[in-house]
Amino acid sequence: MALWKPQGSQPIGPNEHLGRRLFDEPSLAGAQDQKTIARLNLRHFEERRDGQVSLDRLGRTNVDKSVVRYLRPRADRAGSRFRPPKAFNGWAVLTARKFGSPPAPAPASYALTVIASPESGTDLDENTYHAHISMPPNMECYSMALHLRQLFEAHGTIERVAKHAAPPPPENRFPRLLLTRFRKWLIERRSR
Amino acid sequence: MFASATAAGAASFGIRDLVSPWSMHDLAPQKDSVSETSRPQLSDTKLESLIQAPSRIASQWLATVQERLQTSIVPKNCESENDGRWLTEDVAASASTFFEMTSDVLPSEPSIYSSQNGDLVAEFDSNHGTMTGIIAKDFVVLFAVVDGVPVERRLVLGSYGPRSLRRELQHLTEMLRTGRHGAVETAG
Repeated sequence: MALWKPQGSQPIGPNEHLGRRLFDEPSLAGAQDQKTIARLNLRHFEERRDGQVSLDRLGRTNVDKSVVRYLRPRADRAGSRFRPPKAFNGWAVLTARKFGSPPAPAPASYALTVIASPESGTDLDENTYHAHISMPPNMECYSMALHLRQLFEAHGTIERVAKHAAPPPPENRFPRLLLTRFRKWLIERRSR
Repeated sequence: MFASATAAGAASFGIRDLVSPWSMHDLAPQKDSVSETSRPQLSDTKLESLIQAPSRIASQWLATVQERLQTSIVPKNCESENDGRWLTEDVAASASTFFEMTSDVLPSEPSIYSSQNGDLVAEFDSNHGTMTGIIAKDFVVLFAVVDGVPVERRLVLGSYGPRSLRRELQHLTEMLRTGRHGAVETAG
């Protein structure tokens, strides 16, 4: 199947699947003993850069595997740019229409608009599937993050990606060598 | 024989030690306790108004959470490389005070972590939904989702006294407990 390529000016369709990238997030140094909670970490939805929350357009009507293959190396690279680097685990996914229709009785100001904003560049700097939500002027950044997380938790899904296989640990040949020597010595001793 | 017996001597049980009522030492009745110099009792050292007023009983998890906050304060040499594992001293102190004032009206033990901005995020669970508190140096954001409906409050700590803060929290906790919800609004 041909790779779906949205045009820059093409508006986001109501059934389009949009994803927010999920990276490994650290726990507090003194709270390693607490139970893990079955919720999305609020840090995934905080945007500190420019008041625009980045999203990836993952498919026209569902999560398109070929689009995921295109985006994966870009997301992995974005994770490697954090200090320290963070592993990329997948996306929280939501259909576009859910951004514009907040649950009652939330005020209309909570309705969000997703804008296509492809990023130009070479190789992995290019992302033709990039989109963003501008933070409404009446909304504070924590309210935005909390509201977004609520939308994804209530109406969204998680698209996980397979972790990259870790390179095999270097083999320690010393025990095997020792065993071979011992066997050899045993055979020689018996044959005497 | 019974004419000379004191109530304390004859009783099979009594309050031995008000400071640590659960201690198991010296369970046998004391002899001639009337003649001993009496120790000051709780009612002798506390103001009458304090005894009559209802006292807050801190939640069992308070000490554990305060310990977690304390041990998450960023060490002196790691301030520049804080990737979310540490809290500043200000935020940890603010959060510790917040929990101390409100632990008895919060819905559950919080699960805590740091926000991208370095403030404390506390997640709570309840029968009818969830609540998230973001505790910064000078404000608190409370976001409850009661049966799927979001309710938000923003409280500026300087202008909100402990009573108002507790009242707001009690209101949210009650909604989470019973399932009744109000409209989305912000205060502060």
